[in-house]
Parts: sequence; structure tokens; C-alpha cells
Amino acid sequence: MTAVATAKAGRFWVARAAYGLGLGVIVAVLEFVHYAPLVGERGGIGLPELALLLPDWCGEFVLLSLVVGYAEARELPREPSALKLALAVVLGAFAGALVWYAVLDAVLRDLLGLGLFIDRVGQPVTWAGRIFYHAWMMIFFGGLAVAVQASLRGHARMLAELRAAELRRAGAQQRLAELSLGSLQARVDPEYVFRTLSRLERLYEDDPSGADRLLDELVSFLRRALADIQASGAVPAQPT
Amino acid sequence: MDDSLGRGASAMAPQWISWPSLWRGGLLALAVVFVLSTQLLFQFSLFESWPLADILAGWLEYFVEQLLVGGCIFALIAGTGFVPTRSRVRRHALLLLAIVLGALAGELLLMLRLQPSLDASAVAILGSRIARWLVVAGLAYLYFVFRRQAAEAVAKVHESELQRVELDRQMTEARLQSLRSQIEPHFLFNTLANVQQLYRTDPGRGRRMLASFVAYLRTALPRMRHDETTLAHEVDLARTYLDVLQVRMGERLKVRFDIPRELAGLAFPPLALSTLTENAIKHGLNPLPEGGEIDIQAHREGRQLKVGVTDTGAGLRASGGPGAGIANLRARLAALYGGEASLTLEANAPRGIRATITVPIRAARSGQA
Repeated sequence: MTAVATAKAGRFWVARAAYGLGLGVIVAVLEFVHYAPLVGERGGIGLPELALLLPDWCGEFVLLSLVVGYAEARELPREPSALKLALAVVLGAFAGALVWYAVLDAVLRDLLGLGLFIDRVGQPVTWAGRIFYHAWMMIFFGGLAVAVQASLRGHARMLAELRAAELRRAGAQQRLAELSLGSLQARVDPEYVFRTLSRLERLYEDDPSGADRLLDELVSFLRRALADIQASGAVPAQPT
Repeated sequence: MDDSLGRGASAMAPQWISWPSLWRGGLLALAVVFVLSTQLLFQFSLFESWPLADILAGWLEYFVEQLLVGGCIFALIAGTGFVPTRSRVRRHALLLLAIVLGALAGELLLMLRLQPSLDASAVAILGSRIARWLVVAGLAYLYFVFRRQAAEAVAKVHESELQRVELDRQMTEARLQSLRSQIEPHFLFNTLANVQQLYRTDPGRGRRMLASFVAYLRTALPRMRHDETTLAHEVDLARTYLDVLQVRMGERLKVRFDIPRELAGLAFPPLALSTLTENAIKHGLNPLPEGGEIDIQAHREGRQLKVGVTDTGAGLRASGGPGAGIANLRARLAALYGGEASLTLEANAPRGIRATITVPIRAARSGQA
């Protein structure tokens, strides 16, 4: 892998992680405002609980985002199908919820003794209940976010394609305009020549000097026209 | 600005709201609300304490409740489509307002059904639900807008490609046209310069040359713009052209035609024979002081018509290879017949060139001159 490709891949994964992080923050805040009124009577929750909620959801959404990112990276430069994306969301949600619960259980509960947000709120929840609840939240919000992102990419791709198509069309139009300009110059109107020559034929019978003048004019007109044509390159010069 | 999306929209409605997009938006809202309602089924503890029938009944009720709120939000979002504004900021502010008001109305209805008066904690719960709807409806709306704009772009790409194909077709036509009209200006000029000179030195020959030339134009003109003509007319054209030149070259030019009568009515590309004849004169006989002979013959070989122009002129080497006229003719044959037609140049014994055009046998279309 070249350095440029590595840097590009690095940016791809960092962007995915940041996307998951942002979504995690949004869901954590939603969760916080959801619980705040419910636990109001039990002494309430504040900033320490919000601080506990943030790593809770952010870690899970980052994991989900990385799984979806893997599904996307596999198909690059094409788009993964909607079915594959949905599969990645569901798998990523359950795997993320499981893995992250194990991590939080080990770090926050056992190592630091802080406990999880749900322990503070005082609602007894089994681990399976937590996994399913979190998985659903990730499937719903993560799925929506992935759909928005995919539609945004499709939108950008179509706009780029539209620009390219417009450029191609404009190019064709310009070439056509140039060509018709060239052939306009190249065309010495045969009808006009024919009428003039017929007149010339008759004129030579009646008024030879007038015919001579007309022929002079015609020849010098053609000389100028031919010079124009050759200058414009519309007609390849031919030996005479 | 969005444009050309007015299908089915009434005159009162702004351009960007239309029945198809309302229909699709409604379906999307329904799908989002349905998935949202499944949250109930993921509440693991429910299955431990309630029978399945009760859970399913509760799910249905929950779905209808969410549908009510989602419907309120959807109606208000669709309603913003009727507010005319060109500013993006105002459009987004309107959207935000529609989601908040829709969620407020829907959730308020649900809440007041259970308890007629609101306390502080009910207001806080209301607030948290509205916040959630804001995220859900906002994301769904973004998805919808991007999808719709992408679909519009697809339609525009399609239209643009159609126009490009049409332009390309016109270009091929124009190129053919210009190839056809490229042939004569030099010939015209040279002939007229000759006529002019002759009238001053030998009026009789000058008059004959002018008459031949007018006859040539009369034969050539009606066919300038057609893709196909008959062999007979092409031979006539070559004959009148050679008549013009015979006035100029006199004894230096001998002409022989050998065209079987039964081949005369077959289709033949316009001005092809003239190009070969012009070439035979220009590069073959003209450079030689003693002149030479041009022999034009046609014969049939299976399903092909072969028309040859043989000259006893300076030959391939002296002319320095085929010129622009030959290249143009080849391009024209390719444009008219694809790979079915060909043009070959070979040395003639004892000297000169034999040029042969091969085209598929085809009767000339009726109605053609």
C-alpha cells in the first residue's frame, strides 16, 4: 500500500469513528433527557450521570460505525447494497452492544467501581435486557443515520454524474456548432452558383462585356471564399 | 432551486411539493413509525412478566400512538411545502418548527387522554419526547430530500444524455453533409478561372466549357443532399465533368465508358465516382504533358457492384499516396455502408492507377432522381 492510500484509508476509518461518536453523543443526550424527569423524585440525575452515559453510547456507536465502515470498504469503490448495509447494522448493533457491555462491566464496574448509568438510575435490568435495548437503539438510530449517509453519497454521486453529463452535452454542442460553422464556410451555395452561371451563359450571348464583368466578380468572390475556407481549415488544401 | 417537479401539483402549490413526493414521503413516515414501534418488542423484561397476546396488543396500541404523532409531524412537514420562501435558512427553520409543533400536538393529545392536567414532570417528559422526534424526523427528512434530489439528478442525467446522443447524430449528419459539399469549391474555382481565360482567347471553347459546366451542375445539384443515387446518374455526372475537362485538355484526355445497361439502375453513393474521376485527372493525367486515358467500367460480382476508374497517368508513387479526396470518400463510404463497402487503389499496368469502389447491390429507392 502506498503512503497516499494508507493516509486515505486512515481518513476513512477516522471519519467512520467520528460519525459513530457524534451519533453516540446525540443518543446519550436523548437518553439523559428521557430519564431526567422519570428519576426526578428519586433525587434526580445530573452531570456525573451524563458523563457516565456518554462513554456508554459513544463506544457502542463507534463499534457499529466501524462494522458498517467495513461493509462499505469491502465494496469500494462501489456502494454496498441496501441489504448488506442493513445486515451490517443489525450485526454491528448486537456485536457492539455485547462487546461494549463486557468492556464497561470490566472497566467501570469492576476496575473503577463507578458503576453503569443504569445502576445509578436504580432500575434493575438484566444484561440480556440491556443488550436488546441497546441493540434496538443502535439499529434504529444507526440505521437511520446509515440511510442518510448512503443517500447523501448517492446524491453527491448523481450530482457529479450530472455535471459530467452536462459537460459532455456542452462539448457535443460546441463541436457541432464549430462543425456547422466550418461547413457553412466551406459551402459555396451551389444553387447560387448555378443561377449565376445560367445568367452568365445567357449574358454572353447578349452582352459579352457585362458577362465578363460578372465572371470577374464571381471568380474573385470564389478566390476570397477559398482563401477563407483554407484559413479555417474546413477543407484540406488540394493541389490544383 | 428545484424546478420541473410540478407534476400533479396544483397551481397554488409551490413547485417542490407534488403528489408523488407526498406519497413517497407518507410511505417513508409509515415505515419509520413502524420500526420505531418495534422498540416495545425489544424490552426483554416484558416477555418475563406478560403473556404474548398482551404484548402484541400493547405493541399494536403503541404503534397506533406513534402513528398519530408521526402523522401530525408528517402533515406539518408537508404543509411547509405550501409556504413560499426562497431562503434556505427560512426553509430549515420552518421545518424545525413543523417537527416541534407536530410532535408537541401528537404527544399532547396522547398525554391528555390519560391525565387532563399537566404538571412539571409531564412537561419535562413532553420535552424529552419532542427532542427524540426531532432527531428521528430530522434524519428521515434528510434521507428523503437527498433521495429525491438524487432521483431528479438521474432524470436530468438521462435527459442530458439523450440530448447528447441527438447532438452526436446531428454531428454525424453535418459531417457527412460537409464531406459532400467539400468536393466542389476548388473544381468550381478552377473551371471558372478557365472559362474566364478561354472567353478572352477562344470564345467558342469558352462557351462550350461554360455550357458543359452548367450541365454538370444541373446533374449534380438535385443529388447533393441525398445519401444515395443511381449508378447511371453518377456516370452522367462523371461524363459531364470529363466533358468540361476535355474542353480544357483537348487531345490529352481520352475517355472510355463501359457500363452495362442492367447495372445502371443500381444504388450508388453520390459523388463517389466524381471524386475518383477528379483524382485520376488531377494526380494522374494532369502532371503528364502527353495526357492519357481514363477508363470507367462497372461489373457485378455476386452480391457486389464494382465500379473502377482506371487511368494511365503518373501513378501511385508520383502522387505521393492517396490525398484528402480519397480519405473523405473512404469516410463517406464507411458512414453510409459500414464495413460493407470498400475502396481499393492499385497500380495499373503499364502505368497509372486503378481505383475500385465496391458497394453491396441494392436497387435505388423509388422517388429518387
